[in-house]
Amino acid sequence: MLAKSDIAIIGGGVIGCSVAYYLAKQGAKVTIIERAAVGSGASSVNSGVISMATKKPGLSLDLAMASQRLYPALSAELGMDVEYLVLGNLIVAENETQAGFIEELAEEQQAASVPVEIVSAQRCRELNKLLEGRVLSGMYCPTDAQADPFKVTQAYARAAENLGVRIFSATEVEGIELVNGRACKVKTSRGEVHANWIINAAGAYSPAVGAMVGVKHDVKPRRGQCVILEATDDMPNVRVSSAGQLLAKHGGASAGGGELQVPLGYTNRPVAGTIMLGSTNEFVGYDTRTTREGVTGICHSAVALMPQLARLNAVRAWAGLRPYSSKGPLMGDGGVPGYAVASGHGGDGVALAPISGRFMAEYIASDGKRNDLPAFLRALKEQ
Amino acid sequence: MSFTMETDIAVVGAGPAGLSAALAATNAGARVVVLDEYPEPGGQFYKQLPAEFSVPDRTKLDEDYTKGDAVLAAVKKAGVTIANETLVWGAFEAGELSVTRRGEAGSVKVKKIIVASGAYERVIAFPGWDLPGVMTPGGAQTLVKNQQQLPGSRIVLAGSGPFLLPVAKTLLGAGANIAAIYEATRPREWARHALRLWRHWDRIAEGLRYRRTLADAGLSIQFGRIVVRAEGADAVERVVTMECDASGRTIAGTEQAESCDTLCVGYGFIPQVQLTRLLECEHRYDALRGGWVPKYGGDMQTSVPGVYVAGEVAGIGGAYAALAEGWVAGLSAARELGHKVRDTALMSAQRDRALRRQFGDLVNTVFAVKPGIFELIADDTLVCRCEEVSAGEIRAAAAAWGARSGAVKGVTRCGMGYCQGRICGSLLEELTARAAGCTRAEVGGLSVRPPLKPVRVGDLADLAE
Amino acid sequence: MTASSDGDYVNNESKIIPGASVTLQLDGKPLPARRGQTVAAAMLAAGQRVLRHTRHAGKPRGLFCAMGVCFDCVMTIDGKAGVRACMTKVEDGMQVSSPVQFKPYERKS
Repeated sequence: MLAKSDIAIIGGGVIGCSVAYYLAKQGAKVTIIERAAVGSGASSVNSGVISMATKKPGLSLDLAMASQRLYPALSAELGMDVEYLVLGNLIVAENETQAGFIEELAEEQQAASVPVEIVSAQRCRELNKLLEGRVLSGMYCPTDAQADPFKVTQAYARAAENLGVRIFSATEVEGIELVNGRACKVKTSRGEVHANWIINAAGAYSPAVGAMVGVKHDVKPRRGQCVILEATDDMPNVRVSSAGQLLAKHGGASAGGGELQVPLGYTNRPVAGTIMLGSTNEFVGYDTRTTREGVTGICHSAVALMPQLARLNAVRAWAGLRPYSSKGPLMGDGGVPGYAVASGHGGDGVALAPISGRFMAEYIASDGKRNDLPAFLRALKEQ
Repeated sequence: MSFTMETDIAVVGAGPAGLSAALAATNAGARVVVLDEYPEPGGQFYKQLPAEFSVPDRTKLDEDYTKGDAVLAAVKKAGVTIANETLVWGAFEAGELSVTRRGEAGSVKVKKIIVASGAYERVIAFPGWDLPGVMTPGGAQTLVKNQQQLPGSRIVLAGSGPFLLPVAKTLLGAGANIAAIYEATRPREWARHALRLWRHWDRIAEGLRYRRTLADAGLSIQFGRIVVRAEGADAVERVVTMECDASGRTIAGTEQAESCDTLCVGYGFIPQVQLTRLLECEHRYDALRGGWVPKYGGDMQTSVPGVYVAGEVAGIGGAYAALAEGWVAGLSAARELGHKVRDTALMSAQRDRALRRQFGDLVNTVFAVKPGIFELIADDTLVCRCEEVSAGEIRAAAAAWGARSGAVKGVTRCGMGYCQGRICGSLLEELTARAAGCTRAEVGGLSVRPPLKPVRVGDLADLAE
Repeated sequence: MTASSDGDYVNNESKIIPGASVTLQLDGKPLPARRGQTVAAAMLAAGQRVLRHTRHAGKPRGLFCAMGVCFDCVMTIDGKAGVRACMTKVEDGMQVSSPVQFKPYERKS
């Protein structure tokens, strides 16, 4: 037997590590089983954006708000700088449809007390001087933020280890065994892990884990390609993205056919000094390769709106698989006694890691009874 | 603007291996395009003068310049297309290479690829190695050969390996003032390998000629001595060396300082495998042949059908192994395309290759990197020159996050700069392996992602049209 | 061709002749060069071995590999940053500027 603990978490990404930390904080004995290295999946290949402006009011926005509230104190709590920076977020409308969309969204968000405002094209350029391309208007949220995704994951993992969590890297999960109808044994490439609770935090690979207990999770891998630019001095920090991206995300129709949509996404990381451009949203199974269309398309849309980027060097392009779930994050009851799930966070894993960890900790502490996410968020808000 | 090229075989790299492969394949009837990043073909070994320089009397040129003439002339005569200043930055689908040439992005459609991307020098970090004036021996040789420029006025050569000899010869021929030459090995360490040299008379003769050149200049090599640090304010002013034992550990009480304004230090070569990694060829860790090398068969084909390798990229072995291997790869690729290649031709090339590789392996064995040299790397010694990451940070990351190069890279940013881990990668892997007590193979190589070298966003944008 | 004690032009029997004279602008000052030279070699010939200062620690860097692999010689050339001086041949009127230390990012709060 490899390990025996109260909880076994499958997946050492940002969600798995966060869940492990909050559980250990409650005094639980936790094991993380990670097939490669901590944070080596989607957790290390994303922009680290922590955004409310991109969320449709409802559970999605409530989750984002609650999670962001936990971020300012996170570095101090975990004992490691996660580079949480409030830099602001600007969503630009390139055409009339997009302009109408962001106006509607802004109204809904303002009603939910999100500090967004519609700004003119000129104001867009003032907020981010690189925006020399044609925009009609923009939606600006000064409180949107970012963190370093790799550091967030590592910070949670280290803090969890300091609380006694054991992390087994390079360890494949081969099966989950039920005893008397309760999932309690994880069969791995290095031996068995026995636990009272098994949590599926395997991100894009959650379906494979769910299949081991006969559960079908609504999680699909959604590839996002990005391009990282050389380190430069004095680049504007306000994040900029095209409303085209949001429109597709929120159920608007994207362009027909198999054409790859790569609207602008600009994220400056002022500590590293590098700019990240991207990303794509593709359903291509588990293919983590970058493509010529993706890389050149990202650069093309970037240069269209921010022509000055043309002279900068692209140093690296990579792709990650987001655990996309059509209904938003799946957290709590996994459908089998002793088996819980914490996955389906799409591109918001870093942003939602704190709140997800807190919720799962309560879920487990209540032995699965406190399974109501909206209720949990309301209670948290009242505190 | 973007362009497209189409050919049967793309050879990446116009050094000895690439030129040889191109010639062999063209002679067999295939269409070949050689893609090379530099303005003139020849790679490092056959480094040519810039086209803008003129030579009134070519007969007066040192053989250093003319040794490549025969191959270059043959390549020209055979009508091989050489695309200079052309960088291969991506390979996204089978049969396609993404390139840029002078700010223009393009695509090359191919049936077979022969990767002959060569190698670059291994420099093992030491305190002060980032000072201006500290450079690679090959860099000094290139400066003199190609640019007619001495790197400095008082030069120290150090490190290990027979490459220091031709560098010394080039520098001396240009009137350089060499203050000292330090070699980590001692002749007595070579003795037990002496018998294996018996078939390689031409290389032995070459070695003796180099010794003569040094003697004529009043220079002798100080054996068993390594650089422990370079000192200076804004540039190197002196180098401190110590004697070392057979495992590279310094011997107390043997410190010696030598003033200089240039320190050329190198410990062999590292295969430039970024393209073969990107093409998803299988690699293995071979310490003897320079580190991570692609796996290949007798026909020089890698684990990816249609992708061949030849020369230093397939494992450090020297220019003559590269020439022979290029010939094998060129013939094999042409044959795979249906061109007639006689068995005898291929077998003869393979025999030549095996012999040359034998010598290369012998040299690698004698001058193998001594493990003790890595102990000179102090915690505050720079390891990642681009991102300015110290050894201490890398050791701490390896101890905290385990021995996977990707994890250490992610947390320290070592390897994320312009050079994309070429210079620091093997150092990161070595320090990580030592900190975690595991093997280099277990640590794994740094991941390779496109673009293989930085490319302008504007050039990439143009390709999208 | 300007020769100085710090990086002399080689003396060789074959009298290799560099290309036509050109003038670059290096950090606003004229730098003489010859066609066929790389920017790095032209600077070395003029006695300047410090090519840039690093962005974090502001440490001086010079030529290291001279073959386009290490990117230690990057300078800003004709408005483009990250250009390898050892791989760039001189052109008349070329604008070269030497990278300097970045302003450290000031975190608010």
